[in-house]
Amino acid sequence: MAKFTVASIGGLTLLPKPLEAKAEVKNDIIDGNITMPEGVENTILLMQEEIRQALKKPVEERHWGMVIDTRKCIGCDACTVSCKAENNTPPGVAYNVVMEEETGVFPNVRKKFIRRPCMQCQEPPCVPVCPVGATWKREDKIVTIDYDQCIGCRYCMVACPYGARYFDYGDSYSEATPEKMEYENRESYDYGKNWGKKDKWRSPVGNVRKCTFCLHRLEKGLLPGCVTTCIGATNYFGDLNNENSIVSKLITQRQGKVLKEEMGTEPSVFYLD
Amino acid sequence: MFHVKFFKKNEFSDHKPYKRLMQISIVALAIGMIGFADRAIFSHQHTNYGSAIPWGLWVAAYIYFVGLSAGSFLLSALIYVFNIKKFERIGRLALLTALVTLIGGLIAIWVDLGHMSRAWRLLIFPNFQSVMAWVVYFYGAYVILLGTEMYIVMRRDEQKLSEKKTENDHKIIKALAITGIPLAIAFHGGVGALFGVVGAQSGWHSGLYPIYFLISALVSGTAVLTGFVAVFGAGKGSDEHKSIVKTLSYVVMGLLVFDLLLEASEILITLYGAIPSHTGPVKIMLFGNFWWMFWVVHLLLGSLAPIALMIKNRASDVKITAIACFMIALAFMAVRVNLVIPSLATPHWKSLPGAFYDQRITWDYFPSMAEFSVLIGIFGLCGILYYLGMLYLPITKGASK
Repeated sequence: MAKFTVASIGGLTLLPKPLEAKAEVKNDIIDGNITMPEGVENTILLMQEEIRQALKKPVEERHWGMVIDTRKCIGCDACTVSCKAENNTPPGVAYNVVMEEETGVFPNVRKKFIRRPCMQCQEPPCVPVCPVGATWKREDKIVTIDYDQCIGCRYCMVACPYGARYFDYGDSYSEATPEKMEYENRESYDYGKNWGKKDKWRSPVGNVRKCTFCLHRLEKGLLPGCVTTCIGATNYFGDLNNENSIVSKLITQRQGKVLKEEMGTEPSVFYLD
Repeated sequence: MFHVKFFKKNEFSDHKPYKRLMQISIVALAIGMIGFADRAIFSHQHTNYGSAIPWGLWVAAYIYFVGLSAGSFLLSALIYVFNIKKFERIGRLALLTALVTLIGGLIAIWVDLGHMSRAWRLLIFPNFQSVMAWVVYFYGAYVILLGTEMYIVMRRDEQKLSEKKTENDHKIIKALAITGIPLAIAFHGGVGALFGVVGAQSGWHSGLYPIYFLISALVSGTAVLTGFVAVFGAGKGSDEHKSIVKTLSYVVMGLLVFDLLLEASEILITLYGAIPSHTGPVKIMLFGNFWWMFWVVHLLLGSLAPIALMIKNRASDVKITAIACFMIALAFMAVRVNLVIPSLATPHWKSLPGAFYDQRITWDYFPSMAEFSVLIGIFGLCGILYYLGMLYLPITKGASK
């Protein structure tokens, strides 16, 4: 577990060598209840195995997807914090947020928490509107932004029905404080590229940014930061093209739904009630 | 080519309105330099738009100025295509207005970009699935057409052209103007389409938007042109001048009423539909924190008062027409802001604003000093370019024979 914890902090230089994928990964999900196969300690490691299986496939055969169990979410926002730490996002950029809805009147009142990462839509409305073609859907179905091409017109931001895109203004958390904190100078690794020390004129400042499904971690066989961190094992991640993966089974057995289905954007993020 | 002499004295150099225009413009540009310097030094750090409302005052300024440009140009095109002799002398004024306001609009949107130095990518790597890419290309064509038309329209005064060449020029101008009409419709209708195609913004997603943008452009462009003709037009005091201004004022009024009709349609249809996700933006515009932008600036000062003024005046006093038209033209900025902001100020979920607290992720927006400063600077720049155009170009010289 120590190896695993170190890897979760991010920073590719700290990563140990990725584990070899086991020959066959089986998971047992009956009525949405997961039974751990022998030798696997918890769902996180199970999903990690599934990622490594998926990485063996050609990239166009993968479809990265996420499942969020809203029944288990307690609104602790650890996913939000971990995303911010993992991707080193500045003020104004919050790839992951958790919305809170309160329904009912005491004593029949309850809160529901809905996490909102980028939906990585299969019919993304943010893609056709880019005037310079700086954003597109990858072969593994993650919607990517090339920070070198993006001119920062922010048209894609207004086109996203989920509000999942953010603009990097080059703001700093330690503004108007005596000292710029060390963590603010850390580099980000969005989409697997080192974007270098922060500079107000250099990408990704002046670009649109969004949740990347932690592609830089996926490529190394690790789960996204939010999925790894969740204390309630609320988040699941895997290859939707694999009908035997945890995510695929959960979606079919627990009737995974998407947000704003009527828009037909076909998100890759599913919610379980 | 034109004989450009610095400090050239012409019939306007001592003209009071011109001096006034120049003075106001220089002050405005000076104020603007603060904003431009801030943008150059601090990038977007001193702006108030954020990730929830990513488009702010500068985008509104851009659609305002290019609207003025499209409107003035369309008017000039109609003048040249239908050979309306009476208006030929203002044809050049219209072209100059179109050029100057276009420059202002393009500067406004250029400073809004996250990476100004990458603007060239719009021309070299366009993605034509995006309406914005089309609009950029239409602007390119428009700039070339406008420049060419201005050159040909004005060269006959500086160069001694033969009868045949003048006749030829007429044909070219007419051809350019004819091409210009669908082009102007394409680019400003395109700007409307740029907003209209966005399904995620319920306040924008309407087939009416391209049309509404065009009519708004015609109203604001004709209003500003009428104002300029009334104040700076050649032959001031003459009956001919009065007649031109009178006709133009009727055009402005007619277009404005039509524009209000389209706006009423958008608002009432939405409100009566009573679907909360659609009525959100309209209610913000009518009853939100900035309700006065709609009711006081746009409706009262920008529409009803000028119309009342012009009707009462019966277009007899050119000065009153000028005031009314400038009121319409200036208040139109409120219309443009109301096109951009209310829809963006409506969150995608009611619970989204409470999900994450960040100064840059807020559904309240008021422009910063830097943003206002740049806007004022662009007005100033337009004024100065206008003055220089009037000074060095044969704008108000007599029309062809």
